[in-house]
Amino acid sequence: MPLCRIAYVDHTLVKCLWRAATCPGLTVYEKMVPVYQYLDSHSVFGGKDCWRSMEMPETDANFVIRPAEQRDVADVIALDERITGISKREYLHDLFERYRTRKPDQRFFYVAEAAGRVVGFVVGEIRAWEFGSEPCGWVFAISVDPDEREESVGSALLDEICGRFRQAGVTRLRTMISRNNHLLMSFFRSHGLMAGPYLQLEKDLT
Amino acid sequence: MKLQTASRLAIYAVLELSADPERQLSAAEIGDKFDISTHHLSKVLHTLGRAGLVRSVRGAGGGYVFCGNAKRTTLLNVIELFETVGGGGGGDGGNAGAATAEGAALETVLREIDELTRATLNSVTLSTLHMLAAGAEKDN
Repeated sequence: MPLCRIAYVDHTLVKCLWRAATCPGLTVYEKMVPVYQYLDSHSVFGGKDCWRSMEMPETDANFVIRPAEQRDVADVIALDERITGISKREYLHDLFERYRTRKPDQRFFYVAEAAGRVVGFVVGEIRAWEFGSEPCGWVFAISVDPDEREESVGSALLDEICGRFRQAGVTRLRTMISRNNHLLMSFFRSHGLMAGPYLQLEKDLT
Repeated sequence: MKLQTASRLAIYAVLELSADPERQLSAAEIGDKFDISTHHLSKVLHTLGRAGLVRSVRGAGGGYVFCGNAKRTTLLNVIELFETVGGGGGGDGGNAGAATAEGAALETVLREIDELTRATLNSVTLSTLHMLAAGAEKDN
């Protein structure tokens, strides 16, 4: 097989690897590891580390999804306040701490990062038997910077947490939304969520 | 909930046209797919055109094209061009007895149902309905 043909085949494979490696939930370095390993092990482009001179194919995503870290909490608070108009500083600090330290295999707090800043976040956990409901994954909050919308950031965040729920053995996703929040409701609808078997009821206690 | 015929036809028309915004379809072509009257559909398409959701293309091979945003246009947007959703009262019984305590209590419950209906219709976009239709087609 001519060398150019081999190079063509392998370059295609690199593109595939690159796309696969852009799955959410990992740092850029972690995503690139399988690509580096493949190139190093095959040496088809001239030997170990030759990938460094390659031009990587472009991808649609210009953000990464990763677990929230302590340093992100301030950004999350600011983003949430910008969108909701309500400061939840204490609540979000407490939430992050609880999610980090207790049942981390059932609680998920992820952020979307673009150009070094947080542009979105999602929070959810697995809850079982509350109100008689079988175990399911609840999304409590999902937010995307208004300047970064229409870039699939919210979809990537939701995909990420759904993947984590599935890994934990959960097969149903639930959330609760204000019926006046048309944008968020449409977002969840566009991801296939429908009205569930439960209705939220409330009463004024004053 | 029951939709008026015009609302139902309008939803079918915008769904068919928004499936491929580049494609022109005549009222007859849309009518054939859903087995509906071309005459009635033409009136509906005229209303959709005035609302800026579709545009008529004249000449040979003319017809209609979708010119809205399928990700932002909701079922409520389309339906409200033809009927009032969640207007409360009305029906065969009118508003008889609405001034009584019992009537007010009944109105509270009916209003709750109306609000849920509006919220549901306003959260389902044409894109979402395309997705649901694709799922239904797969199941069949």
